[in-house]
Amino acid sequence: MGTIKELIRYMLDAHNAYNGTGMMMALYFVALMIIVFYCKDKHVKKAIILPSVLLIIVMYVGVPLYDTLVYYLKFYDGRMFWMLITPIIISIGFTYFVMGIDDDKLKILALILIIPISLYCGEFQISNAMFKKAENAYRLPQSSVDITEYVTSEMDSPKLIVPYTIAHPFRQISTDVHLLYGEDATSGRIWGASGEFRMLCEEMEHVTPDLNVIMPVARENNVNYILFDTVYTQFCEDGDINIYGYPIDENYVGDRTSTVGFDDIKGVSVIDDESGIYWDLSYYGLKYEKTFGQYILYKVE
Amino acid sequence: MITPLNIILVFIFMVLVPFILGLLFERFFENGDKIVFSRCFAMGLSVMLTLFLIPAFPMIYVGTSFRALLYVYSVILAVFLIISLILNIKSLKIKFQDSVAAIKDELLGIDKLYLILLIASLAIIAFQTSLLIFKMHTDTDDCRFLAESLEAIENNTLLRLHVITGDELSFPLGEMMKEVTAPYPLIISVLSVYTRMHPTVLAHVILPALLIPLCYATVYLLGKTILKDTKKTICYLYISSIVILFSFESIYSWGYTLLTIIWQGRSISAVIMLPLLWYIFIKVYVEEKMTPVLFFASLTVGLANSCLSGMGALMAPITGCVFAFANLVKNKKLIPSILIGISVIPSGMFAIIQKLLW
Repeated sequence: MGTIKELIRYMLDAHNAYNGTGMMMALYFVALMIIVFYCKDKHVKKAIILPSVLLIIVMYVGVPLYDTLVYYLKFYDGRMFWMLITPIIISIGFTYFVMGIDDDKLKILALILIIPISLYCGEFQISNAMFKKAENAYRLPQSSVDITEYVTSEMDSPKLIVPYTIAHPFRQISTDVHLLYGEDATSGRIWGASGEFRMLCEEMEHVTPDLNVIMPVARENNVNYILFDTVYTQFCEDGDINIYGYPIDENYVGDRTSTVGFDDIKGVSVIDDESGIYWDLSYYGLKYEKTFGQYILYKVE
Repeated sequence: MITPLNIILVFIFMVLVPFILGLLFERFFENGDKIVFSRCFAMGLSVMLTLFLIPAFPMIYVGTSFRALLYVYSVILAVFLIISLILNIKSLKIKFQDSVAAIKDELLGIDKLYLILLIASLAIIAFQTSLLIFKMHTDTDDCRFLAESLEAIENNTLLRLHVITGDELSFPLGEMMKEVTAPYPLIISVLSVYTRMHPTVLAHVILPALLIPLCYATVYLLGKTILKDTKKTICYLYISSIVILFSFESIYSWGYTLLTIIWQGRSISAVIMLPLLWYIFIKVYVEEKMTPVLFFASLTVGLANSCLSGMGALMAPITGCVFAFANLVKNKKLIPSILIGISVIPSGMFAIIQKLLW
């Protein structure tokens, strides 16, 4: 009984991971129904129906059943739904529906109606948030390019501690840059970083990162530069995400340079000169180097 | 950063080379007197990937240098290019002209409504392609894939440096092990050397410009095979471009995969290689015969999928087995079913090796 429960849960998880609200999958099943009941072309029926039905069985029963029974060699991934080639089947089904209309005006109307139907069943994510303005040929944030160029011109193979949120681009620009942690420190990707580095990564995200925690680790690991983000983000709590995996509440964003109380921290003072606003962290052995947009670079002395 | 020389080299190595390699298969499809351009390019890409996988897997495993892999692959590629040119050079001009004339005739014969639909489809596809060429979408997975590509070029290693820390490794670590059997990031390194471009620029700007149209070309090819009729296929192309535009229902969906991360191996596997596999299997299944060209095409595309990603390596044999079973049930033909199964065995083996390694 437990295995059947697990299997059903597995099937639902697999379905939800790929399908979001499931409306696009509903459209896929509608298209299959059109091909089964409405399409008169035997060639099309033969090409689509049996392979699609078999793949649906494989996806919804076969793979979950296998993964439920065989623990040591699991295969499931939401991406396996790609095998169903859903947009292609949807398009073929609806092509038959549209081409079955004799009146040209109604046909044009049906072709126009495809747009709101697809929009309703799917998601339109093309926006300036998803596709940002290109800042360089790498198609990566310009600040990361500038920082990489600066630190690699200053020394060979510099080692950096950077905020997780900007860790990804550096080694896509130059592998001369070495990071203490990156994607491996939060979600445990690549190969999970040590607990010490994970703590450090978390510390760097705090509104006021504790240099008494950061500096010993930096010195122990021969770090050359530490990059601070003047903008801090307080991510919304786990669980507060919608069905697509996007946060329901917007993350709270604040400015560290305007944080009241920074001056109260031992050895820290806020400097405002022609270079801009930055902190004097010389008490901790950090020399201010340069400001790159919202990021402030310090050299470990 | 992208110079005219880069563009010329991109044309040679990423358009001309796949086209010439695709001709190896093209001459054996149907009666071989015309070139189906979409199939030719897609098969050419598959050949490039398969020819890369064969030396790359053992060389990464033993840990040779990147230069060694580059030279070995270049020699293999050159041999196949020469073979293809020898086989096709005489008839190429006539075939090319005939194929272009056939496309022209086909377009001239269609009604105004379908011509408008075709223009609308091409405009939507051009819009989708321009998004990644002119805009920026960052994906965290690139910190692995593109760092691996760059490390190969800058440090002459094959997955022997930690992608984040840059520490030396005796063997690929953690998720990096996936690239032992699916070395797609390293073919980006090779193409970067050929085209004299930074791998990140090549991946983020050039690959979308080539791969998004190729995806639609493959989608069109599959549609044309199933629907047969040009008008229906144009209508289908229009609908598919709309559906994909709104297919962002999850991070695994087609729209997200095609329009935001098409330079990644698994995306190419999903939106180009899988429709191509469907095309090959549908030809076997509907026409009820497994010709040698279809067998080798299936084998090649299966291996290309393995080169692209572990997921691709897994999906090829599953799709193959489904079609083999469908063929057995519907057509009651054992031999084509067995041959479909055999053709996807190498891909399946790569999937199992990856699962055992990772």
